[in-house]
Amino acid sequence: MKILNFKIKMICLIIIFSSCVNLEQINPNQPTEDSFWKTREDFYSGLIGAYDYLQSGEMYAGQIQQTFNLLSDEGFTGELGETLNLATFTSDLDNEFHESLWYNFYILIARSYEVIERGNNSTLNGIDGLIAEAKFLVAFSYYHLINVYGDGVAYVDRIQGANDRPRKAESGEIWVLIETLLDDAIPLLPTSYPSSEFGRVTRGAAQSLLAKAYLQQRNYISAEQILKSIVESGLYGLNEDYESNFTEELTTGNKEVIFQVNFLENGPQEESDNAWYFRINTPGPSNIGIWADQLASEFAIRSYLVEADKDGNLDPRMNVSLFTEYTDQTLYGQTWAWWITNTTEIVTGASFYKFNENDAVYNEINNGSGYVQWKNGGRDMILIRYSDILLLLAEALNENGNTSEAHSYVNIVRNRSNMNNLEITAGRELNQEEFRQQIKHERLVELCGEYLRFFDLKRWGEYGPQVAADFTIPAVSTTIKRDSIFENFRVNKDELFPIPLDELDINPNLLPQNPGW
Amino acid sequence: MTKHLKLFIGIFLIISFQVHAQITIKGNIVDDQNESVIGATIIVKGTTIGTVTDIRGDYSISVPENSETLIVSFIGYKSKEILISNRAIIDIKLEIDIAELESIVVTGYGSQRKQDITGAVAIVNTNEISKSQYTNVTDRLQGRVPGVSVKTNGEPGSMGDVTIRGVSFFGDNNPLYVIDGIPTEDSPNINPADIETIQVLKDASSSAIYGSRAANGVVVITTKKGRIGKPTISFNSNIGLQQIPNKMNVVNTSEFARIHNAAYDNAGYPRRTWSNDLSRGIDTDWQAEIFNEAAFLQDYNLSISGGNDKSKVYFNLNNTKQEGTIEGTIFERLGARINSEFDLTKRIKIGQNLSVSTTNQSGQQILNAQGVLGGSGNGVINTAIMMFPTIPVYDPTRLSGYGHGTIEDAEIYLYNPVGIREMYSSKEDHTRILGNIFVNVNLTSDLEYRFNFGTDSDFGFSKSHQRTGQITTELVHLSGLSEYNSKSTMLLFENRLTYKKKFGNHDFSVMASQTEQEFKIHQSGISIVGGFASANPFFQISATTAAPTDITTSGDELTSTISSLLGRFTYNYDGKYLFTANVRSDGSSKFPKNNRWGTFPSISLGWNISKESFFQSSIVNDLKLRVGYGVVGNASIDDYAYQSLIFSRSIGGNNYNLGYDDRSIIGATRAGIVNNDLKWETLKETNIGMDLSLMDGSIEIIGDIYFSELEDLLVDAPVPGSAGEGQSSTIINAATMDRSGWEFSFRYRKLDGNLKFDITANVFQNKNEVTYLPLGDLYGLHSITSVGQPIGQIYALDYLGVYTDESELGDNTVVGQTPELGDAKYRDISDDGDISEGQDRMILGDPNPKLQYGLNFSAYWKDFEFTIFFQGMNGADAFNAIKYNMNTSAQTSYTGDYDPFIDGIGTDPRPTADFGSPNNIASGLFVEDASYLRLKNIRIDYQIPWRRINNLGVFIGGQNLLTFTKYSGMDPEFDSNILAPGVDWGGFPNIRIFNSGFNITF
Repeated sequence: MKILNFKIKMICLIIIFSSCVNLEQINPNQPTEDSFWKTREDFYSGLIGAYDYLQSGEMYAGQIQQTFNLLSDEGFTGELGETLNLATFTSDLDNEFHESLWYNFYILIARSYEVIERGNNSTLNGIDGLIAEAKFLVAFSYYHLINVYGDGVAYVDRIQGANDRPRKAESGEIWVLIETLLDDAIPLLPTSYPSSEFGRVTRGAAQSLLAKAYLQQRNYISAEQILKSIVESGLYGLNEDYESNFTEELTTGNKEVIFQVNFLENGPQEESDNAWYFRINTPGPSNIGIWADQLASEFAIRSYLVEADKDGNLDPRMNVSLFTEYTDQTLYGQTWAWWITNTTEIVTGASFYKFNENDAVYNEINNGSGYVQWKNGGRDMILIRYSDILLLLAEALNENGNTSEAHSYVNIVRNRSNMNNLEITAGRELNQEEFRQQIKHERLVELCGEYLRFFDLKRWGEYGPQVAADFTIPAVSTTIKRDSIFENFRVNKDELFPIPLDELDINPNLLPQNPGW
Repeated sequence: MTKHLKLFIGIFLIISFQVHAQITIKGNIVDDQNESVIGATIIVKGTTIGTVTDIRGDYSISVPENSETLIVSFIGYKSKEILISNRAIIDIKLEIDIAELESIVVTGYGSQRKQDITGAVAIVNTNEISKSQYTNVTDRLQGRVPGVSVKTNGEPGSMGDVTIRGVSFFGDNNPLYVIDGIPTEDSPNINPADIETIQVLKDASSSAIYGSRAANGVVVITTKKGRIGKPTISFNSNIGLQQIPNKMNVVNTSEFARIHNAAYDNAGYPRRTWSNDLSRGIDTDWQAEIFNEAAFLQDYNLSISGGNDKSKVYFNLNNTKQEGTIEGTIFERLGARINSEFDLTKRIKIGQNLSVSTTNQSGQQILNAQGVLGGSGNGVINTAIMMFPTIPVYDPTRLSGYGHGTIEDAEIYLYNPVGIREMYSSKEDHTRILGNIFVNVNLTSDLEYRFNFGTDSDFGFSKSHQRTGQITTELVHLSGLSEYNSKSTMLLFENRLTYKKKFGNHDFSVMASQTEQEFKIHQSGISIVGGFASANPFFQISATTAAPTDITTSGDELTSTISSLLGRFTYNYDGKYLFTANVRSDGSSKFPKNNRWGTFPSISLGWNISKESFFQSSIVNDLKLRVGYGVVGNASIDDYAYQSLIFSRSIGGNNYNLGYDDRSIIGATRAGIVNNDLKWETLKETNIGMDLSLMDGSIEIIGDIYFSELEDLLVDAPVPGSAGEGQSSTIINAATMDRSGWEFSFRYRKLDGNLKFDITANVFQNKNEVTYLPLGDLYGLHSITSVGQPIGQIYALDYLGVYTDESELGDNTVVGQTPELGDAKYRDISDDGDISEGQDRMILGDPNPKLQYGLNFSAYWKDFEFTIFFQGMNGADAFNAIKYNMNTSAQTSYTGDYDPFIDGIGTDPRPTADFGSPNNIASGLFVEDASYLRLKNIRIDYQIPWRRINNLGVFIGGQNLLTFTKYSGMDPEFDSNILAPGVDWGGFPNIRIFNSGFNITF
């Protein structure tokens, strides 16, 4: 009996001893979401991960510029298929450009909310600024989504799980969200960063975005107020040299940059603007053809001919913005005349020249092999530029009845590029309606090829068939259609992109589809 | 302390035996034909005292004076209890037990008498399967068990796919293998010669004791144990020659050139010079270049078995070496096993099972080499089938000396298969340790405690490399090297209590167990592209001159655990009414906390009608009805699948460059979206069965029918873009399926007289049908999975022959094409006047067999034994993708049965080098009936009557000698994937083996 007792004790011991496996096994190979977000460095890395998405090919390494340029009256395409459909308002429901913006801006939103929501639930000190930067990125994404897909996008204001099916935002709700995020962020953001951190979101960037949000809602009073505070902050100014914004690596010395995307010169594809061929015409693989994803419209070219500079020469900004028969620069070592003789693609006249990787590719093209060596260009891309802010301030002042004051801000921009004051060119101060029309011209010649025109057309209520109206250029006395493609514009349909069909299938909460689709 | 105490107890008990008086009993044991029974066991009831009969059937045993009863048993005979009644000489006659109803069957966490089984448990005839030449046990099960399907192939060292009751999951469909009580995660590559018994738990009521891992069925394997008696030493040698049963029928040079030229003419392209001008006289038979017509197979086993009443030992040493029928492929296994048991005291038994084996596989890289079209594991074979006969094997004018095409001469981008074999090299080594130790303690005469500790560990190393060179058109391939190390370990702990009691006619047992398993994997790898000069013979990591960017590394650690509580209750009344209930509760680390535990119950009932007093039949010996219901689980998910990870990488990853000096800063983002609500897939199954034994057990019939519902099946489901992962997907528990089927087996034995027979036959049908898919149809290559159909129906355009009459040409044409005479005609399903793959594909075949069957016939005459085994299946369709690829492309050769329309003659669509031609679309032209009947094994054994040693046998045999099929591919058994099970992309065909050997026992 004693032995039996002993045995039972032994058995109990074995049972207890062997009950040792742990059912809670955490992946030891990578941090998990639960083990991460513990230190300020974690949050900083999370924020960097969100910034990283700005440089993807579907975003500012090419596709966004292409999408918005083609949608506006500045751009056209030499390509076929879905690119042509996008440019000519002949898209079907499944155009990849329609779908791409949705998926990609929600990725940026998701990465940003990781920082915001984890940050809000954290007791760490010193992460408020990081959260504020992430809030800017969310607002920035929604600003694009609402202009493209309208009010009824998916209302996402937190981290999403696989089973989340967010509701459709109600009218105006997204604007409120954008304003709230930016109002929260502005006081927490620094006005500048040390040079080693250059590229992050500043207070000025958030203020600029908030002003743009007000303007798209035609709230000129609020916009004027905030734009003025940016200008009066004294933090920003215009470079003497217009061209340096587009051809050089941007530095803290450039006071015209308010927000930018950083690319790495000759870096790995993921960090360079690898899709640079979207931006401008680029030689193809064997020197005989070129990529023509984006061509400049006749209207854009002619707009530069409306007014000569102080010395009677071509507006100097044209040589920076476009590659045309009127300009004298070279593309990859060859003049306009060479290209027009040796290629067939430059048919309508011009391509965009801004942000070209001329010098990067130029050396490679002439290496004697007969083939272009593709190279990853690293030109940084300005998303918010001070001259844009000056022109927006002028526009707001004019709409608020301060036309006279508005002139001075336009003149700052004009003078930098050797253009006369507006009053001198016109012979007098413009009235409100004249100024309203003039500002549209000023924005085109200053900001051509910077993908802002689509938002301008929307704000001005011009995004529709009226863009196809006649346009007369006084200097050459010809009349052309401003952008004849807009004759195809399908009223009550093309104002908005369709919500991707797959998205509606997965999340019926987003029904109904946008009108006409 | 423990040790001392136990030693003391042991000594005490031994002494206590010594003080009892002993008497000796002698006798002789014969069977009903008065022939001596050799090796029968005689045990004193209630003790472990025992002995065995010698070669004359005699025995002698010393028993304690007060002993009352002897138990005599021998396999194949009914056990007998004999009262001693103070006799000194007891002769015993044993009766043959054909039906073996009393035999003990291991069913997982215990055993049952065969007659008490209430679930669908198949007992594999291990003698029959020992006649097979397959080097692993899973392939040997093919055709042997109703309900168990095995797809075999000829790759040395590879194991076929086993499915029990069909493909029921979109992920894992492999059964669970339990070896000596150790559930193992993968296929059991143990030495088949070590196997004593195999039971297959097919239905949910019997498999529920394995809970969350049982939904694909459970294969319970027990290895051989030592036998009481003098040590026996046996040695088996088996040597075979292997070859491919048949090559793919392909065209020779002149026929190839005729078709190839027509293809270029039809497309309006200039003819390729080597086809246009045959004066070079090249006619290469590529298959002959790669297949080895006489590949060696060797298999040796040395085993020693012995024991006395207190200890038993079994020892085995095995060496298997199989050369592949593709030159350069080799499998070798060297293994040892030692199984032993000791009675430590009267109540305590300890034992262990241990197998250590190393396996080496060479040449997989040859089978997987790049440069071929689609498929997997079939590189050099498909390439040899598809290569142009106009290309020479060797060509000294080429960069590396191998024949290959050029765009002008012969436009083909396949690699020279001989070049692949000679330039690519690989090996994969594994060392596996599988074993356990156990302690059984009889706490009382009714209550037994068992502790079991087991491990299954594998240490793997693989390496592959290739020399740089050119063996295809235009491309010079780089040198390369990759190495991969892995270590996986599993630890098992098990505590079990079993209580058995009988009161009068009430017989019941209760088993309760607690068990845990922990699985750990460590792996690391390196892969280098370039950096090995052709002249450099040192294919070592350290010898590379590759840039750091051309070197990629990988590695991780994985741990998963399972903790389980389980129990079984059985009751039977007078052997007539049987009841079994199982329940198992499993907790798995693979699932999130909320869904971590799953409970899997089952009940089953049996009624031995033949034991009822009202049942009087001289023909029927045994008739039992069984009915069972159970719920079991499956989980085809990876470790940590529910955990959301952070992705963090520098250059080229999710980093961002800040500052005007572009300072790279590492970012961190969520690494994809996961479903944090994952749970078990479940199978609910009802099984109704009948066991019937007629004519003194010489006829045995077993039938089962089953109906099951599969729920919460894991399938990929898209995630909305608003979740911020783009157009991605994650797995969810959503799909459902029904399955049903029947299984029937028949056995006839005649064991008396000079000529004895043993005939077994089985036939079964399984039908699975998807009943719900969360997001509509799932597509595989030329396949569709939709609600109301089994997984993976063949889906393509319906082929209606070729246009032979000008007047038909206007009919339904492929969008954008103008047909000519000899072009393919397709059915317009959508009836919109146009043919397109988007609108007009239809289901053209079901890859699931209607019937599967096996037939084994054994005859014994004097010292001869003759065995023949057939296996087959009926009613399965296949899409011959090899043929489709060959006969719709000008960049591959053509099959020999291709009869294209050229100059107004020919029944198949005309050839064209134009890729976009409608003749090149997948259609019913390539759907065939893949039914087959195979003469799987034939063998003649002869026992040489040579008395100086116990036993000397010789045999000759063959495997896969004949195949009857209309299928035009190389083998109607082919590799495929779950969503396209009927698409034949080739594979390593089954091989034909001629073998002979001997076995000798001392």
